[in-house]
Amino acid sequence: MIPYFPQPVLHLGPFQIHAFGFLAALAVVLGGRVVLLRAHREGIPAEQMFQFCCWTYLFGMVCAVLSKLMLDNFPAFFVDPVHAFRTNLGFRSVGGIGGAFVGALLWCRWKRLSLFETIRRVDIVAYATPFAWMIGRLGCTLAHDHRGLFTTSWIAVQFPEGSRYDLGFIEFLFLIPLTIAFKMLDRKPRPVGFYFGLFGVVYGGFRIWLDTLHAQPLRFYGGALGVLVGLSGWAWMWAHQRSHVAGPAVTPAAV
Amino acid sequence: MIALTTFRLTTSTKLLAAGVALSLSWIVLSACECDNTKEQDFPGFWVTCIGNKPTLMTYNGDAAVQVSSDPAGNFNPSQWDCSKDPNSPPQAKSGAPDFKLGSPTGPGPFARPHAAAAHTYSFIPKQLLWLPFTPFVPPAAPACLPSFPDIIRTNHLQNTVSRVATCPFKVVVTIPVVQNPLQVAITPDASTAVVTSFGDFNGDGGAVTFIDLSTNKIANTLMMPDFQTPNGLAISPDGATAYVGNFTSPGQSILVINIPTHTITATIPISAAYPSAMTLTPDGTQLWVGSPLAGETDIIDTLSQTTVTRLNIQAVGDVAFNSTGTKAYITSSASNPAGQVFAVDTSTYRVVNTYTVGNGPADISMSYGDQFLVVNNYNDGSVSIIDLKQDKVKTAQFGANPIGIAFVE
Repeated sequence: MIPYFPQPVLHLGPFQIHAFGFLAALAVVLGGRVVLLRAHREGIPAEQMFQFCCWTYLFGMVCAVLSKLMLDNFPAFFVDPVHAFRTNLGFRSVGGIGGAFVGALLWCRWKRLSLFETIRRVDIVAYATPFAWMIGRLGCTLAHDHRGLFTTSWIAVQFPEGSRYDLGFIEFLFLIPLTIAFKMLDRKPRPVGFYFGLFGVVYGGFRIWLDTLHAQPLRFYGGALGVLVGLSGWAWMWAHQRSHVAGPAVTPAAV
Repeated sequence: MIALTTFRLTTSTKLLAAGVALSLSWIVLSACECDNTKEQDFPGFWVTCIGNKPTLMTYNGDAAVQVSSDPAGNFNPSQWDCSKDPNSPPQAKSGAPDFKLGSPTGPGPFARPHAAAAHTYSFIPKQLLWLPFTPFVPPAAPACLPSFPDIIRTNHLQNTVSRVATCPFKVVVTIPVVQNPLQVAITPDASTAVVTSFGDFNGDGGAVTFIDLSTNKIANTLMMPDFQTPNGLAISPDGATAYVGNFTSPGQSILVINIPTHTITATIPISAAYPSAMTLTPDGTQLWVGSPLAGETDIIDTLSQTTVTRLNIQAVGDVAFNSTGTKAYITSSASNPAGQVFAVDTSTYRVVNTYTVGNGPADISMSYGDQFLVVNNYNDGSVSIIDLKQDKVKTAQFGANPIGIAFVE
């Protein structure tokens, strides 16, 4: 049984910086750095990749905010979107991941990149995602903002209202070995699309399971979509490898 | 390591980078990717017009609910003008208190918790419905009788206790108490409400508060020593003694408190960690203490203040007795997906019957006449009715995750 503790808050004059906000921003910055380093290693111009990152991130953020507005209470959003925006500002991770993916595809389309080059960039971001996501979920762990079902399980957190699953904490624990696994897999060259597919399948599958512990109505669509997209990525990787005897591969290096 | 700061940025990239910086600033200062309810995000109150009547509103979970259209506390409808538009933010007249303005669906622009008025009210659980693609329609006022009792409820996150009149629904008074109030019980003569406050989760600050219900003022606050965290609560039938569970373990115990003198008269140590549910037999001779995390129910003789026996029932939620005290009914959420209610013979302490109910049974209540038991099932949002005469169980889905249940007789 894990004790409950309140989220640390840093008071700076009129501002309050919560641990979640700080760690979420730190996750973005560190994730971006991992992406740029890996892109540099693969010979992608840094400025171009930086722009790609910014675009993808902003698209993801907009979709994360919109998905929270629309999915939390669609009738209210439909009746008065301006009011919903003013009173229900926040973001939802599933919308953010999906939005970032769509944004990445749009950017590559705008820049007229081939499908291979598109997947190559998405693959780099997918490789970096567990690093950043783990830090972000540490923020959720400290904020206790994903309350799950009441339980007497050993992994339960003793919330004031009773012991229950802390889904942010469980996801943080899951992301630690996933991040280590990505790092270890990077010791050998992997075909383009490998990490993209792996992240979609493993993380999507995990989210499907995690949703069974959710206190709110079940919403498996995000995880299921992740698995489907990941499998599509692997299918493309397999097809591409069959059609290209010696396709470009990622070389290992420290990140 | 590669120096990544050396590359040149085009104007468009700089603009994108500025957007990223702005977004990150927002995240650091105010955003959260959380499952907070609207009540948690905006724990305050706002005033709106509903049918040209100024109405005080607040959130109950994610639903906007009406608190009052009548004068209550420092809300006076005559200080607000709703003559211009039947369903819009009203005009505040001079001298009106600093409530946020808003619509029937929520507070006004950029309302944040720090902008909320003081927590002088509690919400009333009227269920308002969102109708797809149509404007909000407030429900009709519920019928009521003058004999309806008041409700005393704890507002856990607001650190207050509210007294709510039920005919008409109106918050009579809200009383600040020590941090994180959890449970409340009232003496049989309705003279005193006893409230347990868990404290600040750091092991200090817990308390038991005694509220004089004739004046609605705190008669005394009994502060607890460090690492004593009051949680479960039961009051003896004569109203003289309160039994309070000290949740923090190790060191878990039952505090015996004399209500008239507001003093701890005894401490009963128990073996099961994290005692939570406390129920007295109808005659007050035994205290049944459920410890869901330890999977035990301790049965304590209140006269000798010793443990008589222990029942090994996993994930205990609550205990109810029949009127004669010969049978105890204990909810258990250990089995999944269906929870169970165990009927225990109180003379032999043996399980004599088992009922299968919904997922995650929490609270249980016995109706007058000992025919029906009602159980709310937290995990699947259902309610089970056990007909003890016909020995049948019916479970119906209601949605949400209910906590707390009682009969209106």
